[in-house]
Amino acid sequence: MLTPTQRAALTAAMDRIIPVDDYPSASQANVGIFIDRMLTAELRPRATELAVLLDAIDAAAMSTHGKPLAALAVGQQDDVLSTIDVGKSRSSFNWLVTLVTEGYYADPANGGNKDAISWRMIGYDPKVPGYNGAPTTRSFV
Amino acid sequence: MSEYDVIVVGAGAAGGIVAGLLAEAGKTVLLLERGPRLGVNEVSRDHLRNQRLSVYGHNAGPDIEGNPRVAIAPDGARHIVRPHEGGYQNNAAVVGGGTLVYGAQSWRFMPQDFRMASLYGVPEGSSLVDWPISYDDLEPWYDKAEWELGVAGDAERMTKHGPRSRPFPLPPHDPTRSGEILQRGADKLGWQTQPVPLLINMKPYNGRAACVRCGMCVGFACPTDAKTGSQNTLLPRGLATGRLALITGAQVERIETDARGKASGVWYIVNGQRTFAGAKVVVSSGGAVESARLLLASGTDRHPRGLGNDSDHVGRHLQGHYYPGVHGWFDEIAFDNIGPGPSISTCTFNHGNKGIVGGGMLANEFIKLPALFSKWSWDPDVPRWGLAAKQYMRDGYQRVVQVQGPVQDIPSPDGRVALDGEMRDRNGLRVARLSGTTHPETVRTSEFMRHRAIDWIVASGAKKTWSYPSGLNLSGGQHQAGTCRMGNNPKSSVTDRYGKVHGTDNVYVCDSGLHVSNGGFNPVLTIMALAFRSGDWIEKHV
Repeated sequence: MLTPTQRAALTAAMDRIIPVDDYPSASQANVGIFIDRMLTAELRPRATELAVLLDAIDAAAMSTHGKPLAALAVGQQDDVLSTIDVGKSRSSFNWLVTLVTEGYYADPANGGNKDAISWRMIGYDPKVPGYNGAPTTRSFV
Repeated sequence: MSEYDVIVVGAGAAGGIVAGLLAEAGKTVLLLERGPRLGVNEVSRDHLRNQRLSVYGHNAGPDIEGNPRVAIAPDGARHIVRPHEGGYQNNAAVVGGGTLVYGAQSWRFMPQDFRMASLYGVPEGSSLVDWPISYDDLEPWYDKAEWELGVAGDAERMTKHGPRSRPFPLPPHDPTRSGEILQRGADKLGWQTQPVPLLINMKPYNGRAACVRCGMCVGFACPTDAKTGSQNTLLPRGLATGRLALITGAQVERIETDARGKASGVWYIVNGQRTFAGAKVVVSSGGAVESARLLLASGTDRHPRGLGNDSDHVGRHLQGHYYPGVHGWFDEIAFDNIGPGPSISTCTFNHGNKGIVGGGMLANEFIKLPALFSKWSWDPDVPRWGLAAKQYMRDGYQRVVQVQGPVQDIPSPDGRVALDGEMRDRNGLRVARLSGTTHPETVRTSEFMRHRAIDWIVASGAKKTWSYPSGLNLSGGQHQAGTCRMGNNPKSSVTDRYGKVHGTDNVYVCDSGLHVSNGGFNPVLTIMALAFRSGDWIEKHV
């Protein structure tokens, strides 16, 4: 799984993918929990790809600003991630953007979107009687 | 000695209806379904794993492991795909099939849809032919389906459609905000519109409750069971007779026929255990992909290429729908958080488009889950990350409207289902291999319809629009059809006009595989009408 350094880079990166404004950032809305869960489930085969991406992000931050991503100011973080976004790690970064976006806007039962905060932000209400966001699991064939 | 009068394979839109009807008519029926039977509150409400947005899996099956298919890409590359992955052409595997979790648009095809080849000619390389039956032949069965199941709509406004015996049993729902905005545009353009007919109780019907207009419709089971499918209509009616036995988790391996083409029953597998069940009639209702696979897997010395396949049509002509559409940004709020969503549609361009083969219906979209919106409705000029992306979700979710619709596929014999030579599923059965594409003429029709969608949304006041050109591909998915086409001539079809498989005495197909062409509409009501017709025919001839 991720090292503490990689985890710090992940938190910093997700909070530039979905930054705080008057609504929470990605990490404040528990997107980290969503990603952790996915890495032990369907996305287990891609855990290494995420670690490699986070190492590449920190390497880029070190080479341009002399510090890892988590230690930089937000403007510097955006510069680093913009470079990654057009570099050779581009497809992995796009995947991370997709993953963070899924965690922030999907149902809270997936681990992110704490208290359905993103739904309130955009004005969506599932309005399903008796639905409290609890997961339902059944096996099929 | 047969154990049952009839065995039905697959409890979806058609199978559940045929099985229920025949049980009510006094027949003993065995209904075999590979998936489970789920109550509406047992179907997951996971926003990332559902029948509409299956990023990591489904909520109505099949399981993503143990059920592979092989997809041959247009460049010839062979891909082993799981049910939630591109190219699989999935439909639900559960009692009720897609009707448990669908959007429930319940359109009749138009009279012209049954005689496409006569109307338009046959594009070179296409396998477009007329149906062996007409709209008038099917009209009584559309009527029966609409009233026995319960369709909500406004018949008086369906001026582009064929004549009908009766109006709908249920009134349409009120337009949504985006429906009102699009009505403005249609009025400006002089286009015909109507509410989208839906198999959803807009008031209580058949002992079930009304729709509560919730925000999670398509892709999910209905919280009030107002969404109508085979699982909450004909299936329970059949079970109540005591003559219908339903076995879930049962995958059918082959239909057993003798040297004269007479079926004695089927072999099926439950938990790895093979069992034979005998019957006087076998009905395959597994959907266009699985019914074709079952016929191909049921070959004999006399029919080595599969049942009904002496003329090599089983599995061919696979079609679904292209779905051209457009997104538009409005400066006003266009969202009111009211499901199901599709409330306005136009049939102005289903036929009669100069230089174009066929056409399609256009409608506004279902209510969108936020995660789905972030994937499918992104303005391509907005960055995918950063504050601008967050702001797009905050502003755009309520201001972006989508118009889209199904375009009538022009079939090709090369778009097909075959048995793969190597890949096996969890029960060791050879899986479906999907290859080829629809006919390129479909792309021209799709592009024509995309531009009509743009016309509509611009006339309605969109300040910005975006859309994407159609590319040639194989369509199928939830609207899969055409692989067991009915016809009068065994040389050019798989079944007769009642769905009886050529070369057999008592094997029927009853699902969208029969559709010779697939209309410019969601196909479920046509599947259901054919099921009512087949049930009646089988009852009288067994």
